[in-house]
Amino acid sequence: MQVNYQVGGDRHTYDPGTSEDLGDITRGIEEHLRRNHPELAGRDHLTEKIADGLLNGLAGDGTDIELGDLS
Amino acid sequence: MAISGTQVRTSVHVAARSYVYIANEINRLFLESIQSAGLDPTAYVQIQQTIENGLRTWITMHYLETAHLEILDRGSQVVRSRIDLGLSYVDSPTEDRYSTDIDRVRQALAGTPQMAGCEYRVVVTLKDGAPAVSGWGPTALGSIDHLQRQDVGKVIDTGGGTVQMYRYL
Repeated sequence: MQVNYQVGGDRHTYDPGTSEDLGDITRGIEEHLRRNHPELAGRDHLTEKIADGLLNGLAGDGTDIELGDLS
Repeated sequence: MAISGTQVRTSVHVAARSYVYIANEINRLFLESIQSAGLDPTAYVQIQQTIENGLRTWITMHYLETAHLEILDRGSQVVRSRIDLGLSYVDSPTEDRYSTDIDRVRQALAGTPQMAGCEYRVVVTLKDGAPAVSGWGPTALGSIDHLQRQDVGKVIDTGGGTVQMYRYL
């Protein structure tokens, strides 16, 4: 599984590991984003965007998760 | 390791499909309930995306315990009826199954008194620590001490979780 997202026009990827718990995966992605992109720290509803991207990607049988532009 | 990877993918796919299905079906059951009470579903449809965003986020993270549809008298704000949809989650789901017992729901809703002059709202009960979702805010449920509870039974069944329905009337 690979998570793709953009911040400030730059494209990034993140490997959430092998957890099979979508809640844990969501929290892991959120932690990664807040740690590596401090400019997102004040963004409300980041969790909502991550969960939405996860469900859209995985429910369709894909393995790549597209979160879009998070700026 | 390769086998483990395959199992992980299968589980997350079943979970994701289950959560999308449950969120969609909660919407469907609430719409059925609104219409069975003779109420106009337009207000619900107008904010359906906001409702879905909340349900999808909190189900994905297992924070959603119960989704409530509360029907209140517009003047007195007394609760006339309430539908509770309680969720149970399955850890590491592998069974790719998705079904809704719509006959059971319609049978339970048959004969619902018409509730002209009432309004409705969606309320959720969440576990502590649930993240904020845009369009949602804190509130409290109205008293249902004067209503009788009916256990409708399991109405949504998926590999990743099930939903039990209760009706207060």
